Amino acid sequence: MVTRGQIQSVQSFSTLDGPGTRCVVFFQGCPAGCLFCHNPESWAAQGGEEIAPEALLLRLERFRPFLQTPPGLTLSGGEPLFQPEFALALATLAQGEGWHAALDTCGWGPTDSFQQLVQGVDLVMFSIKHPLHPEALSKLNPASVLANWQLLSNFSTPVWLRYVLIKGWTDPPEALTALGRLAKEIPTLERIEIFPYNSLAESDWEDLHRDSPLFHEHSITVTETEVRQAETLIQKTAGLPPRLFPAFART
Amino acid sequence: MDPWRNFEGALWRKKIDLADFIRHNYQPFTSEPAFLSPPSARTKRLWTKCQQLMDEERTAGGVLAIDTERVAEVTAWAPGYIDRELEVIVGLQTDEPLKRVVNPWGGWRMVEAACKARNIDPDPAMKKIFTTYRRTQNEAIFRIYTPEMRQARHLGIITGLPDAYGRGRLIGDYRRVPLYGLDFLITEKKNDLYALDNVDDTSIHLREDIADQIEGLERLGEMAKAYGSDLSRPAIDAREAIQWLYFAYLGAVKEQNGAAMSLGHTSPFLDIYLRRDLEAKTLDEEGAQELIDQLVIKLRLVRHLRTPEYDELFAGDPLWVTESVGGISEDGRPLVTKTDYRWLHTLRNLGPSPEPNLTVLWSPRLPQPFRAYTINLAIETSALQFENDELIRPIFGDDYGISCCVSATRLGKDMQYFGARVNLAKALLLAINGGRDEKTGEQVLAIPALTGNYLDWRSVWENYEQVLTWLSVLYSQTMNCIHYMHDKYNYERMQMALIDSNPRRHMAFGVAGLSVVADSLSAIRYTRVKAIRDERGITTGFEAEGDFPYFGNDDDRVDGLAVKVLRYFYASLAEQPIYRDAKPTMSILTITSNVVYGKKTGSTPDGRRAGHPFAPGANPMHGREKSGVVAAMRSLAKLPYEICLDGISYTFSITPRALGPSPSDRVQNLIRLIDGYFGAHGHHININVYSRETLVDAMEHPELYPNLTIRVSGYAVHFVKLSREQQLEVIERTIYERM
Repeated sequence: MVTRGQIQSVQSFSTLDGPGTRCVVFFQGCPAGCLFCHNPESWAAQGGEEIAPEALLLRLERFRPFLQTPPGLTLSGGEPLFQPEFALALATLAQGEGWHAALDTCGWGPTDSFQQLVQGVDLVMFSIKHPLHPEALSKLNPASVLANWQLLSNFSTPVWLRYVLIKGWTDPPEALTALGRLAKEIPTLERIEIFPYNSLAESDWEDLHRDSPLFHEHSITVTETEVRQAETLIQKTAGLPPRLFPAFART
Repeated sequence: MDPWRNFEGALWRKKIDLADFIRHNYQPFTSEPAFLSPPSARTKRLWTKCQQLMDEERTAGGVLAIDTERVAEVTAWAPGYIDRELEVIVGLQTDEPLKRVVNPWGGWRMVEAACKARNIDPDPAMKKIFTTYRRTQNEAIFRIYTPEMRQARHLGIITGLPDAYGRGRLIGDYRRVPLYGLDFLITEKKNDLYALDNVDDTSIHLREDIADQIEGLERLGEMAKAYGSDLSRPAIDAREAIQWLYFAYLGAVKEQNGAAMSLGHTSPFLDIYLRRDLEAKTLDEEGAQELIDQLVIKLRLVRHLRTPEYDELFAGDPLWVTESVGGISEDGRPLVTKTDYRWLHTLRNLGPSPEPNLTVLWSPRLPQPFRAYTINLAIETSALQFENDELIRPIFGDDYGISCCVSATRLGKDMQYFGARVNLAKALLLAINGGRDEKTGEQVLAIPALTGNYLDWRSVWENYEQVLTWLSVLYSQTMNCIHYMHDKYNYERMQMALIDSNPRRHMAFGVAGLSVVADSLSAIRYTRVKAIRDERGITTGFEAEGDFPYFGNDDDRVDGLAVKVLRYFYASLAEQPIYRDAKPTMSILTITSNVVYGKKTGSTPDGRRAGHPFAPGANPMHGREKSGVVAAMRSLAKLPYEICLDGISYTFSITPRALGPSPSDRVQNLIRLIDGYFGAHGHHININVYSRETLVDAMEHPELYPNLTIRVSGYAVHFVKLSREQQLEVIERTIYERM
């Protein structure tokens, strides 16, 4: 069976996309269109490099001696859920060779594919764009995302929740409280990572002649202290264990 | 007292053999370094005084004082002290700390330029001597340069040549003086001198060299005597051993202003003496650390008088007092001793510093505590570099040091003829422009002009082969001129006296701009590149009409082009006759000169704009390593060390956050990265762990960062001593953030 996929690029070393040291495969194609996307080049459904999972894994194997054991592989994007067969084939193949496979997703995709992939990886990193109004920041279908999030409680796969804190957009107390409630629903939740918004991707957007309303906003970045305050609020209101907020996620 | 009491082994007693002495007497240290001592009260007070002096030096614009009355010579100055009460190791280059030596042997013009830049008039009598009666190295070389050599030099095709400054690179085996004493060494040299016959230039040349060396050793004895030390006999204890060793080095830096004045690999040797005293209880750990701290203070105070042009090439007033630690012995034991730790510990006792240029000879077989300790220190100070001992040892044995930035050399057995480098990117532009210089339009060599609107891969490569062949002939002939005259008019008797009389000689060729060339060739080969020519018919701009692979992404298509260029050029160099039968080696190294080389080079087919800096050393071009650090390391590791024995310099910069979430993760991840890189046959790596914001802040507020040390292409500098242009280039470099 040949399940070729479209990838945008490969990152050979990351400590920020899951546990340990990892490679990250950025899938080509994502319909979410998040206003704070750090990888807008990966949006187009077409383009990128067409490659078979076997060939891609061979490329990754060259990086293994530089990575900790087990080496990590994170499927990111783009949105892996939009190439589910390829994503699953790659994850399965890599796991067979001893890789730790993680899925980095916005959670928008067909339910069947989502369930299959969640069962086929070692970790799901689920980025919630906004717990109440994702449509304000992206083209995501809120109902589909929510349904998939709730499905996670049916499986034993560990889950990390990721959230970008943008002042005036994602940091109102009602949003953070709602985020805490969502977190509470998943028994396999291992970690909540709150990232402060940054504008590093602005030039990438410019290269593509795209614009985001966020680039015209002033003072939407948050400080370390504000990240910590948000974490405390999420943790307290939902009664979550503090261990879900590792100190280093804030640094 | 018998200086050799308690020492084992027989071979080294009869003839000079440091490796044998060390093998029989050193003791590896494999535990955690819990024994280390803070600086002594004396050291602290002494170092405070030195820091004040260095502040004054910085405030004075970089040079505190110049002695214009004396000519560089080992016995020219009466003993100098910083504070006699506080110094356990004594000896200064001149009679006052930080006072710089005038060294006219290399050339009078440089003395004048350096003095003029500091509004000082050189001594008229000295000027008369060195312009009327005594020929200098610089004058002698320029008298025999051909017009072609001058042209290649002034256009910047061959560049940074040691024809106007001391070539440096030589490492005297300074350990010989404490172990044997001068009487023994002079007797050995005399035996060599009288054993040679007189039948030809080669042997008489060598005899004159040895006679010079003997004179140098005698003068060294006089210099030390003025300080109250009798170097004629071996050192009897650790303090003497360190003092003797430093005197031997001091003799070299009093007479020579070589671009790199490295120390070698002294810690296993000194450890034998320190351990003997510690075991006899005539010394305690604080005393042992004090000796090393004070030696390092002295090494941090060495200065040379340079011209502004020189500073532009080699920024930050570097000396390359390179000292190695670590490594594995040929019998399989780690060469790590307690004194390796004492050396490294100076970075904490005295604070981070570019000098001495501390180099870790790295191997997976080093004791784990040592690996973790050095990596921790590298993360903390950004002051260490690492070289692949597993790659170097099979070729150079286990008793080698690192000369200058990255070049391995067998201690006391090898010498190097430093050759700076050629600008490979300018050479490619010559190939594209029918042999004309892209800036001036001057015809440099005759090759077919390329006329099509688009660059044709085959025609470009054929022309490039012709340029590289022509360049290898010109380059090696230029080197032969330089080193013939350097040997004749600016001979390094002090260092050569501590190297075997007829050493193995390396002609150290070098290249710059490799990643620019690889990417440019990749553009021409894998997409269509339009040549935009001006009214002179010179191509001044390039338009690539599609994507092409960049060096640094583990893509064999372009990495292979880098290797192809290196192999072609080296093979061509290796065919040339070389002065004194030296063996050709090659480096991929730029120091900070990548900024200057870039300035002198027009736009290139890879999209680099005219005047824009090259990447340092063998690094991929800034911002083109799209696949992250591991892919970049894999590309670098494909460059063949066996033809680049002079070294392949890689400078790696990363933010703490990208390296790992916690301090212990960072150490483990970095160890794994270096093991991975060296396991793939990478040769050298500079480690910088800092954030871009820190550097930007240091640029704006230098007074807050007097000790911020960063590693650039094979050495370390104080960031605040770089020019603004160089600072910007460092900041623009790929600093892995998002990894």
